[in-house]
Amino acid sequence: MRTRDENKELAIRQKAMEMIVKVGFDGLSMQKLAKAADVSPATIYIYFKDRDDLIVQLWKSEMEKMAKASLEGFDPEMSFEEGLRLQWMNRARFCMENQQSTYFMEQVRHSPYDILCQKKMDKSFLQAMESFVHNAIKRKELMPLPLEVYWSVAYSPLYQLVRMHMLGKGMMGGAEKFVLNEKIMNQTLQLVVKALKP
Amino acid sequence: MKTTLTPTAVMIFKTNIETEQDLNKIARILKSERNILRWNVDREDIDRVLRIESENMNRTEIQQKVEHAGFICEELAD
Repeated sequence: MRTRDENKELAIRQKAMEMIVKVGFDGLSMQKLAKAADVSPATIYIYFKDRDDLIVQLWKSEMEKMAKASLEGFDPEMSFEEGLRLQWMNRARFCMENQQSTYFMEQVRHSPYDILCQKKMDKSFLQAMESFVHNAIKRKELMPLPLEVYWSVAYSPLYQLVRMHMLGKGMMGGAEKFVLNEKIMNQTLQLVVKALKP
Repeated sequence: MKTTLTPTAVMIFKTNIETEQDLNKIARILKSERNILRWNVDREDIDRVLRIESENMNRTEIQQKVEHAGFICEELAD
């Protein structure tokens, strides 16, 4: 009788993410992963059906961690500026403290796995974000916009700054180190809030 | 205290189920088996791993069925 061993499962997940970030999806095989995580291939198959299942499950658990971090202290009734600031802070902190996870999620985003993964998106997270936006529109703090436009203005600047922070270099050919601090984040946030006001 | 329900056993086998045709053949056999909750073959893996979740079938029963269909079926050890 095989039983689940949480420590083993955790080790497998950790190693798989490391391998994907280092060598990409094609570099990951169950055999190589077994060697790296110091378990037998059979052990991996107890937890995961195949490589695709492993990748999707891995994404799901990382996404849940991200969603949890982003909702910390958050209330969809918050004013738009206050709520968006908290989202920026929470998300930036999560990305910086979990760089491996951030790189992994980014890789999924640009891969065929994205379609499979998006179906498993945390519903409560989506609901919170949706009602936050609707409340802000009702209070006339936010312009009604197509979702893609809203997201691109509201969050893309943050993720771009986080990316540059993680790379450790800015736009000057990488000559000067770029650090995303609270001052820069607030400065950018002010512009975003201004742009989204009706 | 752990759950008292019958736990689902996951059984892992090394096989030579390689082609789409092989897969169809094995599917016909496993689909008719009421005691199998879930199954799949990872044909991308070098061991063509057959993974079976069942509540009350044992390893030998499954092995016999797969072998009877003309495939290799060896238990992959932990």
